[in-house]
Amino acid sequence: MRTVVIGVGNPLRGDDGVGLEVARQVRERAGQCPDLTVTELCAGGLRLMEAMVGFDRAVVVDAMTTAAQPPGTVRELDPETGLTFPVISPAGGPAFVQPAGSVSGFASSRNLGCAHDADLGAALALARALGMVLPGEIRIFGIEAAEWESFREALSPQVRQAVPALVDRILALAASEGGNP
Amino acid sequence: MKRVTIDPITRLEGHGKIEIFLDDAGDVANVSFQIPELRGFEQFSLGRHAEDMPVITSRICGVCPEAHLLASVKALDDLFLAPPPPPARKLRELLYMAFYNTDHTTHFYALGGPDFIVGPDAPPSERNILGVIRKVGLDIGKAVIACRSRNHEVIKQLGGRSINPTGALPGGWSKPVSAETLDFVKKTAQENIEFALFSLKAFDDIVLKNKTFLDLVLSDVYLHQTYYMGTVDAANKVNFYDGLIRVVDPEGKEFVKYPARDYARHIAERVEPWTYLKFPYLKGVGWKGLTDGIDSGVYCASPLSRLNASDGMATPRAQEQFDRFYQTFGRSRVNGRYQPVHHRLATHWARLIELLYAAERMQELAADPDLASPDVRLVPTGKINPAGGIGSVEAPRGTLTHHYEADERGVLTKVNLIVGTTNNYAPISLSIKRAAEKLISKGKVTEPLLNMVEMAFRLYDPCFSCSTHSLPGTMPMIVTIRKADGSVARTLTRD
Repeated sequence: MRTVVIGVGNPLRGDDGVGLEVARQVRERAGQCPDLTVTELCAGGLRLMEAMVGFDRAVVVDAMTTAAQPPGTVRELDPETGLTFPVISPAGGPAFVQPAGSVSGFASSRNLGCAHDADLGAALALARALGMVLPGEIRIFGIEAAEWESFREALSPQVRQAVPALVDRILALAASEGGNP
Repeated sequence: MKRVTIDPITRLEGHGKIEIFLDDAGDVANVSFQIPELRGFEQFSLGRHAEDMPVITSRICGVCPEAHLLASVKALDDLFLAPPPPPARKLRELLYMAFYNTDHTTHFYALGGPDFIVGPDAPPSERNILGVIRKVGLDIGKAVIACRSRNHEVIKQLGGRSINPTGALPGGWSKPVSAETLDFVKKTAQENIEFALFSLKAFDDIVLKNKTFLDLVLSDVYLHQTYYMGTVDAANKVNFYDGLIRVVDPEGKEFVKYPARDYARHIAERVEPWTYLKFPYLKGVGWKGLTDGIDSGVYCASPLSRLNASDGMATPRAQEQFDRFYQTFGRSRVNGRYQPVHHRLATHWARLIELLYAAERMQELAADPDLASPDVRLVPTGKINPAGGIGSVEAPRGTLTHHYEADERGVLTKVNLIVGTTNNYAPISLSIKRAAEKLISKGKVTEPLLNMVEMAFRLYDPCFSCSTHSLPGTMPMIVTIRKADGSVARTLTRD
């Protein structure tokens, strides 16, 4: 199963770079793996959709900014509905809790949608309408950011601490044959 | 009117925020808008090596990294006193034309398209590129994706990698173009020309021949008579990569023309107490408030602006379209140049004319024998320009200027960036204010306010992408209408 892991973010804006950091660590730890491609993107929407084309599975990682959960909280988002499921709580609670289905308001937090582009949902719908080959499985992970409005190259501590466990999760996912580990 | 202080701590959370201030009679006194702005770029840059700036600044924005890359490397050419040899300048411009082809195409089908082809009153779920494709056909959707793909590939081959090219060096470029790449570029340019012509025809069929849309374009809601800015070559034709910055007055007379280096002599920023945006304006005219006309220093920088500030397009088919554009708006020639088109919705049409020029220019450059030359670099001697380095290009959204000062080691001591959208803060406010004035009177709001305000924003295509995560298919916006005493009369939200 050909998997692409796409880290999305801006390396100059503090926690907005966490997606890129996760991608980097996935690449380092995965080593030579013929079925795994790791990509770093600074834009969402159409670019993000285009980066997924031709793969069987896509895993997207980006910072999220709900301001409604502690920084470092990792959630998985459904690409269609934006429903989120707690994955790891920063207090070290149960890992990989199964879907609890709290509505996140994906409509107001689509990653890097752009006024002169398309948000991810529209870009995916466009691809399907055009008959482009999208992955059968698209997984989206968001990490709650603490600070992203100033120019900084470092992640904040709570966000940095969330990275290794998510990298583990993604490597396990990439190694699996499909379904929902 | 009472002064209202806007709490700077208020989090915007990805929304554009607009405040409309009413006077005692309930009519619109003033308007402020706020785009979430990034803080601290200057501090972040100081102490770094100047030659890192193309890579750093091309990461400010995920939408137009190439614009920042080129403005930055031009500032470095100036800072390191290393003018690039002609093959390198042409190579850079070639890459930039590929970028313009992707950007202007995507913009038209994803932004202009939804406003015209789908219509401003369509449901939010249709007001995006998918809605456009559903109306114009899947084949066009495929053509848009194909246009992006081939031009991204050109950028990757010319620049060393996609999205954030690495070839930019002070004094030139890191490697010459291979013959295979040049063949691919020529093929791409031809396909670009055909698609640009197609898009212009689509605009003609869908917008210009549709009375409702044509009336909207010609209406006085978004009609502003401001000064217009754009970069022009030696023949006063539009050029995106290099030239002099030219400003014309609302009647079309050249007001000033200057090299990027002199920007601070001609442009100043106005601070107003009721907003924390600073408004650039023309020093030579002066700040007369948020108003248009020949006596107001408000100016605009956009595709429409660039066409207005120029005497024409430097390539033949784009020039034909340019003539047609001005004639359609009934503009006459005075002293050899067309008087400006002031209808702001015409920006969408102007953008397509620029798209055609970018495609033709790409073809011209690809055929230039200079591009086969390996001479793509003048290595700097290490001397630093004591006057600093300033470089500018036309970003799709307006004139973009990078200004760096460095010590004798090339370490940055000062950085100033004026991004495309900044030029348009005053015109955007003006357009919003005009829409608000038409729809609010004696304290009563008539309903299409949010739509009209949104269209005012959208036609300037302000670049939000460097500031926030959250932008769904509609533009998230909060409009707060305040009474003369500062209390809130009404809040309208688009989510």
